[in-house]
Amino acid sequence: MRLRIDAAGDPVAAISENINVMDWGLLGYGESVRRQLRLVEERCSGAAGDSLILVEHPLAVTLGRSGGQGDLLMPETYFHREGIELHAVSRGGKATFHEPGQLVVYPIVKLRDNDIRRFVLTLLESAAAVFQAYGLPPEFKEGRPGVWVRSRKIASIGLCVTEGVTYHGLSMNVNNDLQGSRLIVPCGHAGEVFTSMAKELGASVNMDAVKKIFVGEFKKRFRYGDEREQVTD
Amino acid sequence: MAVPIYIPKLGMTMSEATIVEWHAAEGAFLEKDGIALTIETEKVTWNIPADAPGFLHILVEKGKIAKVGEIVGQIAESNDELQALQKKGPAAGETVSGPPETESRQAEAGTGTADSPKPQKAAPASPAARSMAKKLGVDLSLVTGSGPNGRITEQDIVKYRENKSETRITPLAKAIASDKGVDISGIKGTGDRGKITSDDVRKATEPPKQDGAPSSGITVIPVTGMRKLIAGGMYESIQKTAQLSVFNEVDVTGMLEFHQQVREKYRNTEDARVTHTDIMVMATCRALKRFPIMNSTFTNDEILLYDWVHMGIAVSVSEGLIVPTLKNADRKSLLEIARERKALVEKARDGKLLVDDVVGGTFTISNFSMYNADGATPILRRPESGILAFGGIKKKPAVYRDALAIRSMMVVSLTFDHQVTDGAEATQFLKAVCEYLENPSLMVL
Repeated sequence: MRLRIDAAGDPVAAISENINVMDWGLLGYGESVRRQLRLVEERCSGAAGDSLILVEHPLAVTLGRSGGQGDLLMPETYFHREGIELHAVSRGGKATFHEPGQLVVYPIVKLRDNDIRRFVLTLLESAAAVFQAYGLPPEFKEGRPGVWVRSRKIASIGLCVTEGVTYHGLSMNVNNDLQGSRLIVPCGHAGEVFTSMAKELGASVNMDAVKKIFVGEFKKRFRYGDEREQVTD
Repeated sequence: MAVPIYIPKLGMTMSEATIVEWHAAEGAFLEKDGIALTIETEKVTWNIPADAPGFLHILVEKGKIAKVGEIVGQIAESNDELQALQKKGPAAGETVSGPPETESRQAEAGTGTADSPKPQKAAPASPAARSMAKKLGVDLSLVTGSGPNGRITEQDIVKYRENKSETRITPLAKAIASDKGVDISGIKGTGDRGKITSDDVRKATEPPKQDGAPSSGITVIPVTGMRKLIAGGMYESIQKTAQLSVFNEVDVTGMLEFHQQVREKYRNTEDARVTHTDIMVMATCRALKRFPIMNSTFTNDEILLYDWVHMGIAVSVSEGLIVPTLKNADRKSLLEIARERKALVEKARDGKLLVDDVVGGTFTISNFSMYNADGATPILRRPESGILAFGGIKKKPAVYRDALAIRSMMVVSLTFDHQVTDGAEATQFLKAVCEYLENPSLMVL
């Protein structure tokens, strides 16, 4: 099934003309949430504009608002013993995992029309365009936001919206070894098989190039300008 | 007039949402623009703020699904209004009149919801007081001014905040305290941010306990760690699969004789000590190869059949139950099964299992013969489609070669996912397992 942006085929209009793109490199999951919340507060108050964060996390498992202990395949004590971060988070969805080599993007964006579904679809389309650029045919499933390649899941999504501002976001499996997927019932779907770009292509992928393509697709689809783009570490 | 809280339409195709959390309890006071509840629709959580200050009346509980536009709660202006709503508030399922406006459109238009009243006009306030009120999140319409012509001063804001913090009490607690003539100033609140709850008031009115007086008789055991994991997994399994159990009583006299022969043959080889469980693993693997549908995963759109059998073996440990996985059990000899199963059980009991040891199971067996129970209705371990439980072995009178004899009998219980297969095939599989246990020499064929 291919995904349309909306019924009329119109791209989503951006809320502000510019977006601040930030690359946080490899950062702990907990710290990234703290930083996101600061940005959300600033966006809500008008002290800052929209932001797009690019980041990789050390191995971590997160449980969204619909998730529970039943989504973990190991006891909590195992996570503590092995030093794997385990977080209950405010985003939608169930269990997901993060690990180095996975590109995570967090759009801190003020929505204009509150059409969150259209926002989600456009965000997924931005990720799908990256896979397409590498010759990997993206697939979508009705009623299950995410991106698959050859029936294997390659990108997951989970967002939270407060005062019309989005946070949390999308993870794309680029070069990660998918070890984290073995700790959870992914997104509540038993039997889900994960893949990565590297696995599908048989070789590791240049992460900087993936970031560049994603940012370009995101800005194009959400109609952001280039004038004040900043890339900061 | 109460202000409704309803499910906003967050997209053209959105028709419903799940109530994920109410951020305040029934009757609690909400500040204007404070988060009242969180809803979820397809991987997105959305925080809905209170459109007005007041007391929360919940109509649709956490975990329920509500339609777009459905009124799920109300904000009462006063305690009296709250009590009136609690007595005869509108039934859940009522919707706002006309299509609901989205959150930001309301904000842009500067109005409340379709049938909400316009905010009460606040008394005049000094610029400093307005600034302070904004900073502290105080609704000026609730503050009584002490200045000329009722003008609100900074002092009034401070006083309002102090009074609010002094009287943090739920409406129900306040009503009980008033009814029983209890002085709430001496009660320490155990609710949110020290709020006095009805339980706090009730406790304050109870006579002090005498030494040696009997307790309530209830011991509270927090559900944590492995217990919580098992609870979550079992509950979710029941919710997401269509489980059906079937039973067979099998004559295992042949299995016991076979076991005895193997034990004698390898009695000096400690690491190859074969148990009943090992024979059960092998019998199950052989039967699964004949009925591959039982060794599968249901994924809504597809059924995945596995070429391999990764056998989960339930092991009881001090904290509960854990199921290590014997990988490729179908490709191993009985002695290999015995050796590897023993190593896994030891790791489980020593708390040394790794992720690799417990993930990837395709079928599970549970041998609880030592507990002397006959049968069970074991619960599936998602994403598997079948689980076998082996009951206690008992000597019973049975028909053997057309004559009455004393035989060793065991009940084998199979639970399978009816989404994957039907009773006919499942019982055929169960029969195959029983045939191997009845006559283990058939396993070499």
